[in-house]
Amino acid sequence: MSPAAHTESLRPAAEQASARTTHIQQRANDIMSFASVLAFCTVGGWLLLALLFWQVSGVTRMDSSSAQQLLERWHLLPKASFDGAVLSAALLLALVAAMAPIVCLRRLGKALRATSPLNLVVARRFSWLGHALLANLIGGFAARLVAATQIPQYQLSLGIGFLGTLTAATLAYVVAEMVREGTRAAEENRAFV
Amino acid sequence: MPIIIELDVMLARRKMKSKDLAAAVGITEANLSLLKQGKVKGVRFDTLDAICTVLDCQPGDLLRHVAGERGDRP
Repeated sequence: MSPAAHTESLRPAAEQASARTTHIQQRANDIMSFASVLAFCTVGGWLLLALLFWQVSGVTRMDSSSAQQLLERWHLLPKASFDGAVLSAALLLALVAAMAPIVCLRRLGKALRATSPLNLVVARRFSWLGHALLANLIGGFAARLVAATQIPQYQLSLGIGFLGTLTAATLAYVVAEMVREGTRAAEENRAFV
Repeated sequence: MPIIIELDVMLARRKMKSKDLAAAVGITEANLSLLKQGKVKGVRFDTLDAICTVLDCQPGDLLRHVAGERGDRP
């Protein structure tokens, strides 16, 4: 191969690498947008639920019949003499548990957009996503356990969501390890001319 | 390092500048400088092929093994 041809052969490789990076950055933007929408919906849903519980608590003078109907339809109507503090704690715990993976997902997107995908920062973000998903499982279960003491209709169950979250957490840890290994390989490759 | 890079010698023989070789081979001057100093872990066959083509030489003209140069090897 002539030197000129060799130089030419290097160019498409560089262009491909650049295209790959751009593609990953686009996906990173998608992840960030998805996380933002999720955060918005989670906080919105939480506020709605908090408002409904507040209405049925009798603290306000507003008519609580519609709130009661809505909560009953969702099987979330608390017992007549429910402990507001316990329910608030459960709600807060549920919000924190739900928000943790969303925040980590957004930070992962940010790291993927800012740096190369084979980077220790990205690996750390994946690890944190795994931790957050586990925290979501444990925190969410604890919140449901507490809420169940105040909401007679509430049924505790370990459904497909539990398994899905556990699988996602395991995958996040595996991907983190793969990124770490890839980073080591990329580092070694950089030492080759 | 028991492998000595003799790229400088070859460049002097061919009366060629590092800058021109780097441009012809398609690597950066910084990487070529590291290669000349032997501060790289390895050389890709593609790069070696391009250097040999440009300098019209054999890999053996560029690399030399010196036994016992590194203490950690028998």
